[in-house]
Amino acid sequence: MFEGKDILLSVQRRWSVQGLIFCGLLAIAVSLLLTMALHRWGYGSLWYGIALFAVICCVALFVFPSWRVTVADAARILDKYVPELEESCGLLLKPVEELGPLEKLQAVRVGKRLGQARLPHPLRKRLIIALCLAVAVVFVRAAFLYDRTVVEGEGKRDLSFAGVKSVVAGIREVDVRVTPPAYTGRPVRTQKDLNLQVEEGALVNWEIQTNVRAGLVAIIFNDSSQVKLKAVGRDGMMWKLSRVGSESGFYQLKVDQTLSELYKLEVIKDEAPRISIRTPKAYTTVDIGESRKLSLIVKVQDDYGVSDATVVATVATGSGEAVKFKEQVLSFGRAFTTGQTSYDLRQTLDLDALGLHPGDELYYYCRARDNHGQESRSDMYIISLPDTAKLMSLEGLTTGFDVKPELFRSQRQIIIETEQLLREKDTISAQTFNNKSNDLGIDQKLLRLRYGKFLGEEAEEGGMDESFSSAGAGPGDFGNAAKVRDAFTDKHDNAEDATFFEPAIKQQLKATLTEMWNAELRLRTFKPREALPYEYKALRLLKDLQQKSRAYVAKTGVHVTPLDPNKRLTGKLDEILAPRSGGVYDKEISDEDKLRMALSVLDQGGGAFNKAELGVLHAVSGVLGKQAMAHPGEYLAGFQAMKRVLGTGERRVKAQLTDCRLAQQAMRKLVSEPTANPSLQRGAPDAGLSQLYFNNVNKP
Amino acid sequence: MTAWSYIVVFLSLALLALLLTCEWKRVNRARLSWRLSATVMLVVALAAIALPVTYKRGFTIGGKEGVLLTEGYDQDSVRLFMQAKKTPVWMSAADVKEPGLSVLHIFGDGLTREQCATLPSVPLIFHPSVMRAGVVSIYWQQALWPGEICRIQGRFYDPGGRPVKLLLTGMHTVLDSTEIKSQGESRFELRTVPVQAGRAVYRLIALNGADTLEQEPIPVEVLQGKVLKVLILAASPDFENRFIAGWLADNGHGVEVRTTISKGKYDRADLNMAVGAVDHLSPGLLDKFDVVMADAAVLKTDDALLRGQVAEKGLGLIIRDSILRFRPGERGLIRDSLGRIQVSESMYGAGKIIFTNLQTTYTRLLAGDKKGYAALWTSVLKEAAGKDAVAERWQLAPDLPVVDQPVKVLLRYAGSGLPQGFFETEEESTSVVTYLAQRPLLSFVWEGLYWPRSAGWQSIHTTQGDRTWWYTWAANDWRTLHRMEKMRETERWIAGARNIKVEKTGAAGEASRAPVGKGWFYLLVILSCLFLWVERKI
Repeated sequence: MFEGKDILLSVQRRWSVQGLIFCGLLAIAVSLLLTMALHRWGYGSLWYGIALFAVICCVALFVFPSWRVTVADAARILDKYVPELEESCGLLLKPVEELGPLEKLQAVRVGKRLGQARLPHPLRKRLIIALCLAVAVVFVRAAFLYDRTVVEGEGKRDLSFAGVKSVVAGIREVDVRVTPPAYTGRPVRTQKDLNLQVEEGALVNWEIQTNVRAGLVAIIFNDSSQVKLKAVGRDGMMWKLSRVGSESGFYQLKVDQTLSELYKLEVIKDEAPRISIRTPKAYTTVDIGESRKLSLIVKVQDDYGVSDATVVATVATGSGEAVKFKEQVLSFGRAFTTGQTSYDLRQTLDLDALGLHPGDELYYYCRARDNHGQESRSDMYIISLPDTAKLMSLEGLTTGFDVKPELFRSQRQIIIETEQLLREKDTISAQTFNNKSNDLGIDQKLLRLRYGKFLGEEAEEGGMDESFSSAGAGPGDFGNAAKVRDAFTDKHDNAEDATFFEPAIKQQLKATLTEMWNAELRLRTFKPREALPYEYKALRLLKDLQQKSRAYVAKTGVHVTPLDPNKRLTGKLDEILAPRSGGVYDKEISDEDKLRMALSVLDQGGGAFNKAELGVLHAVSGVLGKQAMAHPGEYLAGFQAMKRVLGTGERRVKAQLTDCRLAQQAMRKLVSEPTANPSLQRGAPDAGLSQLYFNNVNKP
Repeated sequence: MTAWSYIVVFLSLALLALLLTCEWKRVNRARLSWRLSATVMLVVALAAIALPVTYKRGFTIGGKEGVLLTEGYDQDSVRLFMQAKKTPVWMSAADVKEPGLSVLHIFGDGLTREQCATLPSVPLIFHPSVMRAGVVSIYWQQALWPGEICRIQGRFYDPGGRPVKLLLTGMHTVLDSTEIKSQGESRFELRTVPVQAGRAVYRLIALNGADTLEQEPIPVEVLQGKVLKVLILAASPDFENRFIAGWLADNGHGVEVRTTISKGKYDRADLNMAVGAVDHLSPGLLDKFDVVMADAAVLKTDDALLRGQVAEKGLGLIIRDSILRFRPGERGLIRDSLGRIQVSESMYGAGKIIFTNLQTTYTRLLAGDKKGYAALWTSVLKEAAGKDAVAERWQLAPDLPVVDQPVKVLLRYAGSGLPQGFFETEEESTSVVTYLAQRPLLSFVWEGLYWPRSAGWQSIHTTQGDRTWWYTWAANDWRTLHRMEKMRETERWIAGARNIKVEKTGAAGEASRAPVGKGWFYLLVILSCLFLWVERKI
């Protein structure tokens, strides 16, 4: 046997072990990662991890077969990587008898060189990578675990209220596993605290381990229904129960005959999605010339996730009885990922694409559905496209509003001329175009001043005829200060000049003037196209004003027969009996009255309660129990305290002051402020002294 | 110098002259100088007995000072005052018994009036301690009707620094709160509507940041309301009367509604009560009611009868009219938003007459404003309703009775015989009997004294009477308030102490005149007489 052979054998063994370690590390890393994922999905048991590890190990061993390296393989690898061996490692493996003399010589030489040569480590890189991977995964896992314990700790602090945290005697350990329904996307959680706060539809698993063999372990829900736990195993020490949390309430553990404290079971209901439309406004009017594309921005929120949102748009065309509706559903054109709770959605409402014509209206609302299938919708929003043709019609101008019709025509005329100007734009020179635009601006100004008069605004701007000639035209006026002042002063907004309108009409008139201002500005800066929307708006407002000033009085025609005063009250009433009604409103003592009494009883603090007081407290405890069932978070502590107070009361012992206060606090929330009720005042006997005084005070 | 003094001086001089001449002329001229001096001494002493002889004395310089330490004294300021002085120090007012005391310094919170009275009549100088933050005065109504607001009003003294928060708590709930920011004394008001039916102890808590400065019990009792018997006389059927009757009946009051529906025909409704016919009113019938609410149109016939009943029997009369004329001697009870009177009241004999033009308050009920409706009519009916005839009424003298301090008990009693007060606490049902003394001039008033032994709710009643509940505070409740009271009482006592002939109390070092004891002069007379008598025998 050559001396190199044992080296060869040890090399082979090392590589094989390294291969196994590599597979093992890989399996650990991957299985840890997977168990973490499984834990999130609710399969946190250690056995899952072990099984996973075994499977992954097998797979790794199969995929990376380096551990199966044989001595011959090792020899070949060495031959390949170490040139000094002159590809003769194979000789070392052959039996000595089979070798020739030269081969023997070579084998001895190779054996020696093998002892001195630097052997390669083909698996080193893989090992380092696998190690790093495993360490990284372990770190992640550790961080995750730490995070969870912190979170659980905090959660516990929130849930445990009033410092009550004792479990009934005989119970060694309690594990509660809450599996929230899939739509919440929340992980399964286990807790030791029996006060539960669960999502609606969550599966709650109680696992109770007793110290000794128990005959019966049960949970009493809401002080009424008792559910027995199932024993796991034969020793009667491990008990289980699963239940779906559907309604809030409280429960109590019962081991054989001993009862625990009350624990709350609060069910958090899933909320419907909340929709708020940011733009456009609830009522939007798109005037002619304004963009027909409106951007719709909607915010949709839900507590667990939004699964869908759409806009439902209805176009109403026509008027009177011939209104037609066309409904379209628009999507927001984006995918809704599970678990995202808030979306900012955008959609462009293209009025042309929706088929809106002047005079039509678009009604739309937003509809959203959450991942639990609950749907909600926003308010109805309206976009209207006014019909300019109607505005231009002269119908109805002959009646009503006391404003000269020619003024309206003027505004209409300005619009018509503006449109005319825009049509002619290509055929006329820029100078003419500008001049015409300016002229229209002047027209608009005159119109504005006319309307301004109604509001008592300044009629003319800067009197141009200030001169002494007008001030003192005749010799008789010489030194007439009033006249001189009259000529040279600028009489600003004179309220006396104003027509008396209602404030609402005044406001609208002012708005009209503002639109006219805007139109004038555009016309004078040679932008008639931009002026057009303002002109239309001004016209529309004027039209509204005209409609407003109309009043309608229905014609009535009732004729009453005139009364004959001689006949009045002369009928015979002998046979008419006097009607008589009556009744006794027996006031039963309401729950609220009982609560009021109990509040006073509990306030005594010292001493045991007597029988009557205990009766009041018993009656009230039922009321409190009902409330605790509906709102355990708010009333359970008070109900529990009340039970303790009653317990001490039955044993004729002084109740704890803190219990009384807790119960009072809960009851105070149930009692409303009493309404006032008249009462006789408390008198004081005076042996007729004041009566005597009264009788004698006025005597002379 | 009065006339008396002149007479005495003149007579003395005459006597002296006579006696001296006698001595001078005596044959035996032995011990002449001794005799003369003894004679002078005798006459002077006699004059001094007849005349008020005073001498001037200072407080600090010379004289005998004493120090009385009362509760809450400041050790450092006492030490500073006593520096190297040997003054006697007492810890209780009862111990101060030092003859020839010239001035007494009182340190601390001072003394009650009773304790002041036990002090010797010497000038007093009060060195009050520094006041700490706290409630210095307080008032609230201890017994309330259901639905009445409990207003807790008082003054808080804050020497400065951080703002103080006042909380009113009850039933483990904060009911109201206010903040006091200004330095010195400031008013505060806390309010709540007690929700319990019966007794409860609320708490007034003063917080300075996280420190609790004070925590005082505020006992409040909600009495059981006494139902009214109301007669409504309506000139025609209307909603207003219908709704008032319904509301009153719902609340358990007895209501009789008589509505005129035709000439001599009435529609009657008896709610919670049954009386005979009400077609014709009579004094006997009206005696059964506490309040009559009538339309002005109905009153034309029965006006005199009703008014007589109001004046004599204390019936409450509410007259509803469409126009409200304000008459002199009336008081506006409810005004509308423009300040016009809607309900006015005037005293009329033993009762009250209330005029109102409220015609459409039922719309409030229809609008769901039950609370506002109830408050409005409660305030009107409360004024109209008289007082119930009770057989006894208890009153207790300090407003805040303290454990182991005397409580003056006053009973107004209508029954015959000797009433006794039975005192009971909430915990123990064994009662302590107090015997009462009748007041000589007001035969229905009985007085007594009681020493409560424990804090908390106490009840008092006569043999047959109903219990009246009152509260006793523990010794350390309302500390600041009691301190303030004591300080003011001491100051008042010093200001009013006229029996001490001092020119002025207050600043130390001011001189005063004190009378010289007459005994000395009697002694001188006897001694000189003795000498003169014995000298003759020798």
